[in-house]
Amino acid sequence: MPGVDPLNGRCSIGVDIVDVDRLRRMVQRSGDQMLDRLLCPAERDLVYGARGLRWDSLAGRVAAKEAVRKVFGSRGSMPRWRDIEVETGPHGEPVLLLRGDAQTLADTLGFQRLLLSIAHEKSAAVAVVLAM
Amino acid sequence: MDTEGTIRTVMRELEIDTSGVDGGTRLREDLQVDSTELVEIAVALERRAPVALDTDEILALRTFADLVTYVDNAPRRA
Repeated sequence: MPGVDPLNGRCSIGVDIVDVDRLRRMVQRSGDQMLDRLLCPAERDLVYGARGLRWDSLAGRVAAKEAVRKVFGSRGSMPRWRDIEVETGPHGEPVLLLRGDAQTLADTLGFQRLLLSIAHEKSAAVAVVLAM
Repeated sequence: MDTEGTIRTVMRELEIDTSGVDGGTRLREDLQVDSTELVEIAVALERRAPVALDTDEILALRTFADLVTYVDNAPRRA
């Protein structure tokens, strides 16, 4: 209905796409130092499978963090990269966890929930974040 | 090598075209450097120079001149 905003302006959306092969080349060139900058310690374990680093999972997490930054950026704020963590929920779903100043920023902006969906195929990973 | 020269060398090694780049060149809009590339630039610069570069500060830079200034003023690693 025109003129009615049930979320009182507190809803934002962010999306990002990551080229899996391009990210793989970057990490293979730069090694662990790159992974240390991109991922929180707990996430390092989650992106490794029985056959080594799962590039699609890494790309999905990077896309998710960038999508979160777009959500906050649209409100003039920018959380620190490593204050954004992607956990795995009880049903295997990705769950966003904000740490430190990122959570404070979310509280300030009135974000009560951050919903995340990630999709990936061989060449690309896409993440969508809805803040409300 | 000076800071600007080091940055240009690193960017070329990372397959980023630096031809025609000047101080006002925008990293994201003009060079189409994205966040992961900026992180890779930070890692590569730390390997070449004894500087400590912060991921979030690198991600916040807008222009090539901003990057040169940031690296020039970054804390030195022992």
